[in-house]
Amino acid sequence: MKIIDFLEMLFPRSGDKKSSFKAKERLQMVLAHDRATITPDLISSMRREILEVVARYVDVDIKEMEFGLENNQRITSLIANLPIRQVKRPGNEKIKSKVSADTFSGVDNTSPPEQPLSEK
Amino acid sequence: MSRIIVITSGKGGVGKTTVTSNLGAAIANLGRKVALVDADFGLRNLDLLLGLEERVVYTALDVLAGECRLAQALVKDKRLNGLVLLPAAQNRNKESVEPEQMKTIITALAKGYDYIIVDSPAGIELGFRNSIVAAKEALIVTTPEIAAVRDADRVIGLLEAEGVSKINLIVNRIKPHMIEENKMMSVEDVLELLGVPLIGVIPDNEAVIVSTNKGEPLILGDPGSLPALAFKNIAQRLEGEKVPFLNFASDQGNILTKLRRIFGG
Ligand SMILES: Nc1ncnc2c1ncn2[C@@H]1O[C@H](COP(=O)(O)OP(=O)(O)OP(=O)(O)O)[C@@H](O)[C@H]1O
Ligand SMILES: [Mg+2]
Repeated sequence: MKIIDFLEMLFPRSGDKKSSFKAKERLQMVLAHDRATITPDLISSMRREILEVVARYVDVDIKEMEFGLENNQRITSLIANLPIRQVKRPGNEKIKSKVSADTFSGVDNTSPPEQPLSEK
Repeated sequence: MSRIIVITSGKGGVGKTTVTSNLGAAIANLGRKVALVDADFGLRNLDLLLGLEERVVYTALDVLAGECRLAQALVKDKRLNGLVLLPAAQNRNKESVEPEQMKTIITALAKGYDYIIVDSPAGIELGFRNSIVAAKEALIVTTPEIAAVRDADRVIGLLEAEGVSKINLIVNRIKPHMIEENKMMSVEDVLELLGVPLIGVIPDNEAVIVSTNKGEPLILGDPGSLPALAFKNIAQRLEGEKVPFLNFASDQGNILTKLRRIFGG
């Protein structure tokens, strides 16, 4: 047992210990929405239409997909993660793709989104 | 060229007036001519924090009404050469001042002072608009709390929309022992969320309250204290000097956090 574990046992930290992470996480969400001035309605119709287009080319796993706004350094981005179940190919419908790909640029936080929705 | 800086936050009670008075005193202490403008009409407090309340004769409203000249309304701080206060009216309707009038007064003040620092009221209504109308720069005051950070973000957006592009952040009321236990967002967290440059960090400290009790800015009463140093550093950064940020962690926190730090908790 490490000394720190022993200390933890003697003086357990209170249950609210990691509340700062919670605060930051909640703020990231709320600021994204505050900044974007995009209504939930608008988001859902955008989601629907984008899915329509993507579905023409690939089979998207709707249950696993993520779609929403995210914030980084005063730039709000639309983040979409659409796991692909199968690529639709004309003439060869049966080939399965194992890729669970990020369909948009800007899906991960490291590469900047092609076009931020709104920039303050 | 004088610098017109608004101190604002969105959320109330996070330390705007505390920052205005102490930063104003710290800049004057560096030998600059500083005019502090109380834009919190109806709820003025800047005179109290500076200990100048008994010497207020005229207010900005009297100047606008033509009842006195601007110079007559300015209260000179006898302890600090170059520091003056333009008081807000306390008794009259706060809706009685318009942004254009505020702009006229501040522009006139700018002729005689190096710094015009405007203490904004809480909120984003008329009083806020009055306080930012002439500003070229803004210092956003926030605490590491969720509502304060959200409101700060809102105000930053409004300032950017008004063309105030030089915006810096002051994080006030930092409690190092809470941050160490992850019970409070760190300065880095707040910075990452808000995405504007940091210009100052101020600890949550009893000396701040003691200094307001006495009506004596920290730089005069307790210049060696940590918060006094924090304000002095902000003043120097405004002057363009590179001053490292204070690290409050080393000598604070309870015995347990210290032990955790030692044993890598
Ligand atoms: N760093 C600090 N340490 C301890 N107390 C502080 C600190 N900063 C501010 N305070 C206290 O917090 C209270 C609110 O501060 P202050 O009046 O400066 O806030 P404000 O933003 O101007 O409020 P309002 O929105 O009402 O104008 C005061 O009692 C003040 O003494
Ligand atoms: Mg105030």
